[in-house]
Amino acid sequence: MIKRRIIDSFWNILTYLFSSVGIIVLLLIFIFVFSNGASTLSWKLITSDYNQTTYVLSYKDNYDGGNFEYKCKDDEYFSSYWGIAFTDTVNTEGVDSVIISYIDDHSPLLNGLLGVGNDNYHHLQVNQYVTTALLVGEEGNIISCPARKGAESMAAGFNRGVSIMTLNLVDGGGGIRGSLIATLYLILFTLILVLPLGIAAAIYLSIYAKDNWLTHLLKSLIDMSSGVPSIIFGLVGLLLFVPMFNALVGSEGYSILAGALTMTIMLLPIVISTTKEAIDVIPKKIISGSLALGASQTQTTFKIILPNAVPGILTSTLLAIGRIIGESAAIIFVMGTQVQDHVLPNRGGTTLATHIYNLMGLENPNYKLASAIAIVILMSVLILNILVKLIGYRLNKFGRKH
Amino acid sequence: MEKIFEIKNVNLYYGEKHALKDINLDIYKKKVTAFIGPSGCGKSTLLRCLDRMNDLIDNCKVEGSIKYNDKELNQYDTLTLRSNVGMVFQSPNPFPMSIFDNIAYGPRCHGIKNRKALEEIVISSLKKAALYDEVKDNLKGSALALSGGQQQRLCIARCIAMKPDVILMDEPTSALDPIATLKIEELINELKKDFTIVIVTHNMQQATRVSDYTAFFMLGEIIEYNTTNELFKNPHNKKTEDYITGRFG
Amino acid sequence: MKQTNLQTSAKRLNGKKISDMIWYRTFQIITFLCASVIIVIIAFILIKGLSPFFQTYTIDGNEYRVNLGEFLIGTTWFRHPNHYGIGYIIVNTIYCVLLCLVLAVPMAIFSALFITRIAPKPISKVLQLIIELLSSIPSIIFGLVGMGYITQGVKYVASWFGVQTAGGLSTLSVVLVLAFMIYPTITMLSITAINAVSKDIINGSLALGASKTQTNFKVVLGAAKNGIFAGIILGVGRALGEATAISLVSGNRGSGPTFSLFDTTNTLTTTILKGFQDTTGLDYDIRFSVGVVLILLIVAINIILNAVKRRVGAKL
Repeated sequence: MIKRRIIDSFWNILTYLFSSVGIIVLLLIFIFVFSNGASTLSWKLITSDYNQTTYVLSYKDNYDGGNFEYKCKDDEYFSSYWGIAFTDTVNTEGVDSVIISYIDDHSPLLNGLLGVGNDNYHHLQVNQYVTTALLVGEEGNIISCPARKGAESMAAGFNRGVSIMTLNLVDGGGGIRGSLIATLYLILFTLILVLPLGIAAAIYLSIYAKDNWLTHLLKSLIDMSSGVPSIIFGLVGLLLFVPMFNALVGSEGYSILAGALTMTIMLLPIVISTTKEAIDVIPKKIISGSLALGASQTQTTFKIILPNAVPGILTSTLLAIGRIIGESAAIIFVMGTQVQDHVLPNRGGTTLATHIYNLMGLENPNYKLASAIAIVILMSVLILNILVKLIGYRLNKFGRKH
Repeated sequence: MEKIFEIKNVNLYYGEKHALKDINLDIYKKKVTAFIGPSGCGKSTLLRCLDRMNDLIDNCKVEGSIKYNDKELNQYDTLTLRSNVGMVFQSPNPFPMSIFDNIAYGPRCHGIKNRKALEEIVISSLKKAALYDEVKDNLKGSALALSGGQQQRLCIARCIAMKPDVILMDEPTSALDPIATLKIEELINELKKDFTIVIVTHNMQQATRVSDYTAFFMLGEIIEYNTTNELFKNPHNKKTEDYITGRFG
Repeated sequence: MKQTNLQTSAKRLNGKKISDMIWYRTFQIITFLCASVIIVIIAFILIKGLSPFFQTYTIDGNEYRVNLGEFLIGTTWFRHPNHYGIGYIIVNTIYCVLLCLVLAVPMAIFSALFITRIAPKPISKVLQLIIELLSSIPSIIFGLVGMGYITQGVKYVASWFGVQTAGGLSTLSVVLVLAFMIYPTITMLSITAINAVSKDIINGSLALGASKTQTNFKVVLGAAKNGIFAGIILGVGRALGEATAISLVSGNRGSGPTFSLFDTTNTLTTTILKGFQDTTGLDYDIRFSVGVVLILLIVAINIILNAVKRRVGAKL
């Protein structure tokens, strides 16, 4: 007996050990992603461009100086001469920078800065980064204010200068707005394509198709494509859809539309099978009831079957969205890895997932930004999963699968 | 006659429900005792107390004393108890393994590894269960390929392989056809030479055919307990008489 | 009165019949389209993938055509000039997947056993949620964490053995990332399989005096093995097809094969992915050939595994 207990305990301990792996892995992922990304994640990140715009500006005239007043917050340094305040901050790459935190309404800098080399007046905005500034003092001396010296020294330097030779501004950078919009476009276009096609096929297979070898063949063929790895879909998309959209819409290469088509053929099996399950669950007697009342098959389909299959259709939609958000390999091939700030359906771009891939491929992989994006993806996936579960519990009128 | 089980003042509760009420009963060694009565009256519940299979059910509370060989049941280690008190279930439950492995399972779990020893055990158990002749050429075949009656005899053989003192049978023939039922009843008559048998049955005639003692249960109580002959010829309690004459079922 | 009713009835009926016909045909055509997707995929990949072997390419003024034999057995993958050998990549791929199974399968089976048979209900529910969550995490995030944590870890461990690694990019990293990725898949299917084992058999084993642990390992796992194997097959499919996550931690080896855990490696999928941005001509087409080999490998392994599954299932 004791020997039995010892052996049993041994196996039990092994079981406990191996099971904790799952938790450990999840913890690893969350810790990494949150520790690196949480600090970077912000509303600004979500709404700014990825690529930075650099402005080189100047204020050529001598300025007599206003006597601006401003109550500085902590870390803010104010130049009363020009009516502008600076703050030390950390940019999206984690580098110490100086940012414009306040501009007085009467400050000459608000609309008075002229672009060097062109005739455009620049509208100065809060939250633009100053990388460096060269001012001219009263005696004609040059005052240099690089960002690395900090906001305090910059404000002091501004106070001594009467005109600005060059002011280097950087706007935006490290934002994921482009990727976010591209992802949403991709989801929209894919759903527009895959839902009607998938539901139509599910209806045919559940209701109209006769039980013969042809139907079995059709079902097998559709199932088979769910075993194909996504990278192959990427290759096919590259081969078929990219040239197709080149001809149709005039894009030169990658495009979101091609991506939508690729995701469509990838997601058809799952939409079809989930919808089919939802239709199969509807009791045959309800369908018979409708037909017995003289409704045509079409009327029955649209009035009885589809409305009752809505939970399944919703589920497949959510599953599809989840797959789209997470897909990377196929999209790289048809949408490219160039992050776009101005997203158009006939141009390529990155989705959130491929943006991460892009960041990892840089010389210095940007873990912080990638982790921030990962947080967005994880949260979306989590919410989608919860929604699927809720639909499963609440809306299933005809009995649950589990 | 020697008593192998002494059941005194046993009350059993499934949560709020009082399923067994003040049970007092003695089971005699190497005899066949039958529990009869209408559905849901506690027969199987009491049977499951005897090998502590009720321990596996949440919310089940047992009060009172059950002694096996003069020692309280809960003083026994469950693994030892169950190797001495075996159980055959209502619908046959062979493991998805070969016939040989099914029967060797119990002994293997208790440490017998020697190939020859296992073979001896398997063959003798199959013979005692009257199944050997039908399967001797195919011991490696799947147990699930046997007919219902054969599967039940396999389960009995599997039970016998543990060399228990007691075999508990919970309606063992209710899922079988009449011929298979007959075979099992003949088997029981043979087995009682070596084993104590307690059998729960829905079928009164089966009780008269195989058992030495019969207890009549109703709504969780024992209404009457006597030798089978006495109980069926001269029932002392009116309810017993009504049941065995078929006035209610 | 009656006649009008009949007439309108007839018209309506005809209208219904026509619309029925139209919809029927529409649905049917769409279904055929959906079913033809797989055929189109295979056809196009085959056509493009076979072209390096039957077509000559002009690179830098020289003509090249890839020799099929050298391609299949070759041990190097270079772009200039034409030194494309996929043999070693196939070996590396199978090696990585095998190792990852060695890790993932025991973890998954034990976890499934724990969740369904051993853990108390509340813990079991929480664990199951965790596993479900894990299985829906996109692979790119596994790649991200792989690059961040796992490569560092491997670098550290390698230094114990005194071995140099390419910044942690190694076979071991690939194996770990793959194992973590397919572990939830196998676990979830095993949980379903174990839950489906009939209570009768479990009670039968307990009634014979077997302990809970013995019952779990001998009877429950035995009865669930078909479902567990199906989970393994699914996991293998996922591992073979994984591209982006592995390409971040593999290091992309140019020659091989390699069996050392700390060497860089590559797989069929990373080969397709690598350097994809600026390729033309032969280098571009050859990726489709790799795609063909990948599909063939997946089909072959599926057939083998399914045959094994049938034999294991039949032995009962």
